[in-house]
Amino acid sequence: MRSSGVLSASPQVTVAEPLTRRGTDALNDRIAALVIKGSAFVAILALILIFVFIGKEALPVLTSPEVHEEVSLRSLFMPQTPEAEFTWQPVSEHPKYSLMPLLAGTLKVTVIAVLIAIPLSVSGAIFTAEFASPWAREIIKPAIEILAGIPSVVVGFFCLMVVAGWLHSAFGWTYRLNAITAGVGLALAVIPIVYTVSEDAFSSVPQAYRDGSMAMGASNWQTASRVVLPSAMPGVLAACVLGFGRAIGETMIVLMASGNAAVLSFSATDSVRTFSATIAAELGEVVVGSPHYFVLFFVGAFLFILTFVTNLFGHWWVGRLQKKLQGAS
Amino acid sequence: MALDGIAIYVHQTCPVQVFSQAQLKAIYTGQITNWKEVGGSDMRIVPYSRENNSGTYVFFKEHVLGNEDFAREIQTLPGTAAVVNAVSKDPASIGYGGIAYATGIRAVPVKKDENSEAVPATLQTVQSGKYPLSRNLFFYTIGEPQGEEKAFIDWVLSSEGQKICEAVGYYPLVRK
Repeated sequence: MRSSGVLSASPQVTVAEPLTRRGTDALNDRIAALVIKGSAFVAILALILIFVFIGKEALPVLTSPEVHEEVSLRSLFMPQTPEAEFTWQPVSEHPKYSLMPLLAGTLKVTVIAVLIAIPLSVSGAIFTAEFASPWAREIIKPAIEILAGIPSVVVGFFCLMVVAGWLHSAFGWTYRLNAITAGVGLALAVIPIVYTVSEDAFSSVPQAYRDGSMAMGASNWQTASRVVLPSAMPGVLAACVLGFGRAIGETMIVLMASGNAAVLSFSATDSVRTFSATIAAELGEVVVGSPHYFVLFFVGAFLFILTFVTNLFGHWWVGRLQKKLQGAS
Repeated sequence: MALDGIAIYVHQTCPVQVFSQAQLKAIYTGQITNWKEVGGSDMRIVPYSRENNSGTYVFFKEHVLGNEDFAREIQTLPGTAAVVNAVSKDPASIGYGGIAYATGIRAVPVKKDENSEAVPATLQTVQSGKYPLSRNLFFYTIGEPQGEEKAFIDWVLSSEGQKICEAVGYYPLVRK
């Protein structure tokens, strides 16, 4: 419908042409709409299938009496025996599955990575969007995008071989591979995402805002920090949520650079074992149908729910912020 | 198909010349945490292990730890190469793995108990079974191997195949 309107509005086109083309146009439109709709649903379908599969494999942890001989919801989250309160030791005479050291490890590494990545990438994005000369922008943007293209195994290996050595000789920690080492590596994976999305947010702030601010006598810096940053805030926040999701699910970097010792502590210089690394390391050789196998899927489901809730919360927060901005303007 | 010795790795600068199996067990179960307790300098021991999906992990657990659990603080790495790399970078560390991987680090001789002599992992000691942490490497087949399978296994067991096993760092089987 819309296309025929555009065609008849242009004076060069004769009346006969759009009439004959209208039929195929409408058909093309319908096919295109169907394909696009279909591809949107493929993603949702995949999501549902993955969730159903993981959920099905994780369910015995809650229901099966055989599995309950080794593990229960209580033993996953609460202290176990007095001598081994929170222990992840699945290959043992008496397997012990406690998710608490893994949860602490996952959160520790993720928070460290996000704390490093967000200030760097958001200020980098402000610089390229507001201050950088065109040629600087032409260098910085592709460079950071290339960073996103480096496979995470390579980043992990780099951390294991090089970054761990630097940090170890600079600070002299007991454990060469620890939460900070892995967090630095993870930050390298998070930076491109947060940077790209927040750079987009800054660039899509209308030029009129900047002009208005300048006309009021504000400096470049005042314009960037008090006009552009607040109006791009929903986008920046969305970038941070995406970055958090990437960090919490990333596997190879933490598997290689964190040391993988399941210790429950709050020290950032202790070695950590994350959910994702645990799954990657153990699922390959686990006996299918054993309690260990079901627990690993439970870990996967738990991780899935964790990221899902974070994204949902992020979405709600972004929406709230957007509403507030629209109300203010 | 071949023999392998599990070597105990330490950093080049580590002064410890020998470990007893009891000491290794104490280190990996968390009873010994300082190098001076095993004859080294006053430093915290940083032990590295393999992931629990590894055969080496299970071998070490059975033969050194007597099936007891590893201590929680033991760091696990996704491959022997990663263990070797980590040990080569950290003077306070100890690791274990196939003798084939031992480059850039030092493999420490092991004694079975306090009274026996220290044995380094070499061709002779692994073949004679004198090295306490020797193991056989196996092929697993469903039923008797036949056809192509049998041909392949026969080739590995032939002197040509055994030479390749040796070239990549394992030890050839003893000819009976």
